[in-house]
Amino acid sequence: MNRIQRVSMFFLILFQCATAILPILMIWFWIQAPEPLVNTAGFVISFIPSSIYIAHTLAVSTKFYGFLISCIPNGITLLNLFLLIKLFKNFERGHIFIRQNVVYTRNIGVVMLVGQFLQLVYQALMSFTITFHNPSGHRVIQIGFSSWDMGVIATAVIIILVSWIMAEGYKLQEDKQLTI
Amino acid sequence: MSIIVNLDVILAKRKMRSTELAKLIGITDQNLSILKTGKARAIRFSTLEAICKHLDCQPGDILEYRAL
Repeated sequence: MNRIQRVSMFFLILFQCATAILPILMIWFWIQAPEPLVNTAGFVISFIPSSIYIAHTLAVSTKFYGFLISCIPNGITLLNLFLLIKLFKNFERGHIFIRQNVVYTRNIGVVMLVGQFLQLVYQALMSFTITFHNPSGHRVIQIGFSSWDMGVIATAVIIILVSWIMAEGYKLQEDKQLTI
Repeated sequence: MSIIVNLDVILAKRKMRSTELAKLIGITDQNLSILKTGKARAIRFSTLEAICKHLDCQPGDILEYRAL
């Protein structure tokens, strides 16, 4: 097995583990929400944006709606993980310069881009749901767009651009291969 | 594609096998197959010249334009 295949296998396993762990973390978090999950290394995991003020313990119905709403960004993440798994599976098999990989790469960029815009919907819905039972004056609908979001959009655009270049390169290579 | 390659016809007329022609003109069997089956995107003049030389024919005998 060559180096590309070994590295691809490592990341393939990593993405497959992340795909399995993410839904479990989501369910576990929302069962004990609003307390964040803290692992032994002190790493905090929360599916409620930190800027949302929670003035009370969350009702079961709120937790349920919160879980459904957090499926928006996490669904995007799972979709991207799914695409990455397919991409790295091809790399692991030694199928590197194929049209299918170009499609997967482009789709990763598109999903990232769509995900960033869905973040606005997610933030508004989550802030509304979590603060609905807050005392008067502490109920908010929150929408934010930070430099981090701009960075993700820029990365997504670059990924789409790179995949387009790969597609054009693939066409040139195909033309060359089919020139007798 | 609108350009049809009639290599099979000429090979039959000359009673020559594809593998033999491929060897004579210096290309692989696979590439000759790509040419015969119409999957080729382009053909080099040098390849066309070699085919015509070994099959004793004109380019028009091998290549045909058909409007789709």
